[in-house]
Amino acid sequence: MRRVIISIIEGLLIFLIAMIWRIISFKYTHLAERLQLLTLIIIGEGIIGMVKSVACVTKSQTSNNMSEIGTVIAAILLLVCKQTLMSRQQH
Amino acid sequence: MDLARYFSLRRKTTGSHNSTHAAHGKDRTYLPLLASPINEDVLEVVSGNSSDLEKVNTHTSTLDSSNDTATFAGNGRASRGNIIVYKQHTEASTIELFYDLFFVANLAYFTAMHQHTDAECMYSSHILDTLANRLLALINYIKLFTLMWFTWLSVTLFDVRFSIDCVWNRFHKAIQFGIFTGFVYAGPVFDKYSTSGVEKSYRNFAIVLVIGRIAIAVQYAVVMWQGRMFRQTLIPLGLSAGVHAAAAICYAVTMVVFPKGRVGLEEQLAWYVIYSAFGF
Repeated sequence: MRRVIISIIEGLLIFLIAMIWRIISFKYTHLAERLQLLTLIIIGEGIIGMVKSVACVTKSQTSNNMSEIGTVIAAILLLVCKQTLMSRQQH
Repeated sequence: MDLARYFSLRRKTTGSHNSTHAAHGKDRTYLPLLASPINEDVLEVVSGNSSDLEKVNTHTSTLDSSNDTATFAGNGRASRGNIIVYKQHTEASTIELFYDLFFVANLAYFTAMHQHTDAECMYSSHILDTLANRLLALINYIKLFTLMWFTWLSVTLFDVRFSIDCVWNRFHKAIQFGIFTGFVYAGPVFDKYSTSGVEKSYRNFAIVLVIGRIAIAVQYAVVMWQGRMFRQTLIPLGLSAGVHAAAAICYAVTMVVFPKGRVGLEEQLAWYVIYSAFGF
């Protein structure tokens, strides 16, 4: 817990320094792009988890009921919506 | 088109188009040992007569009023008359994306571990025990993710501003790859159900964090030394290096002073919240 707090304070202080002394600011850097790419990769990690879960569901039983199919469709729709939001943010 | 240039360097210079290829080969330079992130244009302006940035600022702004450029002037100047001291990056480099892969590999590992512990939580007898255990596992996962993300953030905040492709920075990237590999020590620390070797991993994990932060502090210090002719950059860069060095010291202190107790504060808090919420 202490380490988490230390790391959060550390990150915020670096931001604070860049905000006070504008000469090393993030204004013309590609920080936003880097954060977007990381978000994309983390969502990819989420997709891996989702597909694993779907495989787990379909493997264990012979017939799928409607609620499971609905859950899978909802998960995919959620990912599509998230992707749409991200691509809208880019432009 | 010309496949020969993919095969070897020697064939390139002795090929049929000898003169053009020799000229192309001359363009090919070795990776510098330590590249400076300072804009050359700014250096040219500074090397004229003054080393003070204020004077240069007014100098270029009066110079630029005759040129009326829109956003970026040629001599490293932004729209408002501020000098851009450091070189600009427009997009992420390959090694930065590669660094993201290390982050995600760690994330995948800990997500799998979290699912594992989550499954073990199911076997508790009491419903509230199950709930509390699940909450604790989630808190541990969030803590670990926060630590990883802020480690990633520290490196990225340096990279987007000052990273130039050179041997020194690649060496530091290699260190950071090692740091993320060293996060495996965090696994037993944040895994509630494996009790073996927690103290040792806790200590090793602190060492890993300390090394990572010292590396970033050294990088900031080097950039500070490279830009020493700009006095305005000395304080913020020194402070940034100081922040990371102080964080390294704090991690070292957590290693020495606070040994990992079996029941932490947040664990007691979680149990308290769960049991009071359900009126037991």
